[in-house]
Amino acid sequence: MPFIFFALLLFFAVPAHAEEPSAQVYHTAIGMAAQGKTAEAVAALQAASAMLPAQNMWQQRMITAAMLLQMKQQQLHSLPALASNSNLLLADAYIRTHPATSPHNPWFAGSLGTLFPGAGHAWLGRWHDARMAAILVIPMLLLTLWAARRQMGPVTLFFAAITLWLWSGTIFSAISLSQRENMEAYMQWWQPMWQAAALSGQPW
Amino acid sequence: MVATDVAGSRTLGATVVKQWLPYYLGLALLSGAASLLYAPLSLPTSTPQNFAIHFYQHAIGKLDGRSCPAYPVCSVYAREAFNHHTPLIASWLIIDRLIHEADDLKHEQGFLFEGEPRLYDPLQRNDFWLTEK
Repeated sequence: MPFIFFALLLFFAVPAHAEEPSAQVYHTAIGMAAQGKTAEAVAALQAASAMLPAQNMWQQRMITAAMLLQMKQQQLHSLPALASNSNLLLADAYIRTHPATSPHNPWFAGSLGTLFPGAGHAWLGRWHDARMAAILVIPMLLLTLWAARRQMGPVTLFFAAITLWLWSGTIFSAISLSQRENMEAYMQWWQPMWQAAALSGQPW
Repeated sequence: MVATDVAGSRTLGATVVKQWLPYYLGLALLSGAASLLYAPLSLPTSTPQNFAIHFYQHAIGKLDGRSCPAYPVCSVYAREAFNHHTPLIASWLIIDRLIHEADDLKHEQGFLFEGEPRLYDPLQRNDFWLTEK
């Protein structure tokens, strides 16, 4: 009877979700990473892991989390260092079994868009966007050439300025969409790796 | 006697109005202007581009109906772009939005707002690579 009484007392006296300090630091850092403060989160995790004893569960999690966040920052497809703990071994196993898709080169998309309006979008497989970019630029380009042929002076300059703005905008768009698709494809590969490494929290 | 008093008070009133009214109005205007210092002066039409967006939102936008399928809508997106980037880069970001929104809506899972499909496409989704550096 006294045993049951003490067991019940312990059950109600100790808060169910009381976290140890290491866990609090870890979750605070993950929260920072979720807000986009990746560099600060990595610094906090590295500093906290340096103070914990080796082979401690939270130290291993912190080292792994810091390494995976660094990977995301630089969009790397392999671990920046050798796997040295169980979480990193799990991440390594994920990388071996799940090869990442090769990213588009944003500058190649931009170069194609420079050669012909919309070609960069077409290379990305965005044919509707390619048509839109061509429709945006080509009429103004023809108008500029027409004005130049008729030696219309300031009118030619005006049309040329608009063409320049629109054309450079479509090149920028091809580069931007390429960057965005690369990042989104990377995140689709990286997020399951975080979960495969048995790390808690969601830094996204 | 009474007539002299009335004439005297009118003259006095005219003198007070003539001499003190400019000071009074000056102080009133200065006080009004000083009271605006409680907040930074960021009026919606303080720059040409913001004026254009404001004009579109409040004059043209109501006439042409909702044509932007994205969230935030293009005018809000444009305002954000101008607030975070130089005018040239902001204008490129707007061109990019106008080019890609229709294709995105075809290929991506949007959400339903008042029965119409809309695409979640915030500025951060497109300018993260500019702000990272």
